[in-house]
Amino acid sequence: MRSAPDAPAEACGGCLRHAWLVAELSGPLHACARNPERLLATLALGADELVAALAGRRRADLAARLGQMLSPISGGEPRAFSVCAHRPAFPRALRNPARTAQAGCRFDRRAPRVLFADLPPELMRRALEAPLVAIVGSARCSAYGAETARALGRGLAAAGVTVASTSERGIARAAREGACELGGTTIVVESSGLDRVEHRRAAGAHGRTCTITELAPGCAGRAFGPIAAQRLVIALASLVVVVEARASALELNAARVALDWPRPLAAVPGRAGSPTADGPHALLRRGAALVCGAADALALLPARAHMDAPRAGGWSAEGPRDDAARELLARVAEGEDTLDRLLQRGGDAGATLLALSELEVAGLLTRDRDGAYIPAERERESAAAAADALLAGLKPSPGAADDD
Amino acid sequence: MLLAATNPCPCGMQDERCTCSETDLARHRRRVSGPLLERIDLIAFMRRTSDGGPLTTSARARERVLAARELQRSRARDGDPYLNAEVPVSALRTHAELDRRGARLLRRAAERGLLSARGAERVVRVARTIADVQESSRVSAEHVGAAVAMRSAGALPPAPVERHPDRRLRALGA
Repeated sequence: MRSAPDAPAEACGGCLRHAWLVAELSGPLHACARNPERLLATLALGADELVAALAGRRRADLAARLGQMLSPISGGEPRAFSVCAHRPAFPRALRNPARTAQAGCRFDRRAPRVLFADLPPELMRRALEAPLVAIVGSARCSAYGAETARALGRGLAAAGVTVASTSERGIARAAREGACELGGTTIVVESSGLDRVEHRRAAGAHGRTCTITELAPGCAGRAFGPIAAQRLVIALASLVVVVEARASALELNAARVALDWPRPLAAVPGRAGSPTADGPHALLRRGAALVCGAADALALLPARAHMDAPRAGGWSAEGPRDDAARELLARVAEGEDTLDRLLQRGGDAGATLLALSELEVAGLLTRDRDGAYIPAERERESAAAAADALLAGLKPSPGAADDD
Repeated sequence: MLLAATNPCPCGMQDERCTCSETDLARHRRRVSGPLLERIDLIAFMRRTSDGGPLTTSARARERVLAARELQRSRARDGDPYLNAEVPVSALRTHAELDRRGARLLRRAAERGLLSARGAERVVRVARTIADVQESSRVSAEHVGAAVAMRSAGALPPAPVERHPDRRLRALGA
């Protein structure tokens, strides 16, 4: 039996045992990965059902070990934290009240029971509950797809929106790198245990990255890890954007999961005739929203997500910490948008400039073309309004057909 | 020293009479390239004069500049360059030691890509100069904040991503 946790584990024993069991059943789950739908249905099973379904000749052995162990997961990774569905820090997006009532349990069975992260649970929850845009697509993408995903990542990061992706190559990596280039916040869902992650340390020194996984330390993930990771990315997202995908069950699994949860689904058109564009084009034909750039994605984010947008470009600065900064932000929003105007009511110029600079560096304020300060939130709204106006201009007027 | 001025938009009106489109404005802003802008330390957005009249006179400003230069001369060893713009980077840390809040502001601006290492170095020089003008021996966070604001980080394009900015930032005490 493995040792007690070295790291501060927040997850309860039952959920940790489930994660251990998934790691132990890597072989059968690897075989299930040929059919993503079946794999996700299998991962939704409880511990006893999993043993009964997949353990085969090891059934008695695994059931006995499961019954004996108290806390089966070792920290493995020195900075790994865990949280389960029975803890308040568990992300809200993974709790579906309707499903919960239906299933008669406290959590959504489609969601993982436990998350391992490189951030403490509270910081992780804050990171995951900001509006996330999941950028998904083929691991074998074209140069066009990679460049599009990178531009999307950059644009969303510039608007202060968190970009979520799996740790796979191709579209996911390009989106993550794009967001990191602008120092944006990224969520990376690993397809293996955190102790098996090597590349995340190379993930851009300028971005804030929260790495999470549902797989226990030591679990390689094999073929089922990427599918489970993709399901988790989509479950956490406020919007799912498919950049490139072949028209195969595996590559279009993201769209199926998005419809199942359900999450707003959008697709980026590709080159006509390219096999990697078949997936997005099929989705667009079936009603997925069209995304050609970050402005389109921002316009599609739910209104509440806009309002709750991560105001400091990350979870480490959760908005103005003190009342003075909050008041300053409100005054700027009300139109006192230059230093002169702010000082009309009195106050110290040095302290005010320092506070303005801190808010600007934190991503809460930005400048308009005249150098006046504006809340970053308002700039995002005007970008969304500009996109709406553009879309409205493209729509044919009701009488256009008659006129012709 | 380079002193430059530009109209806010091609028509120069900057009010309701302005007829420039967003495309015109974008084209106008692109006329000054990012690398050139990055080498400009102080950017001031000029507005129409208010009724209050000037806050200071040229004579008073000259006095303050001379006093600041005298402070800078007193800090340097004989024969060494003493103007803040000319002090070598190796001596900058001792000349302009930042407090914790100022260093944090500088580091966060660099981490978010708003300042390159070169930009951070220039901010420290400007902060030291603001402190000199205010006859302050130490560089406080307020001086750094004013220097960052005058660099107008939000109006500039993101700084180029540097592979190893930490080394140069550490040299500045950030």
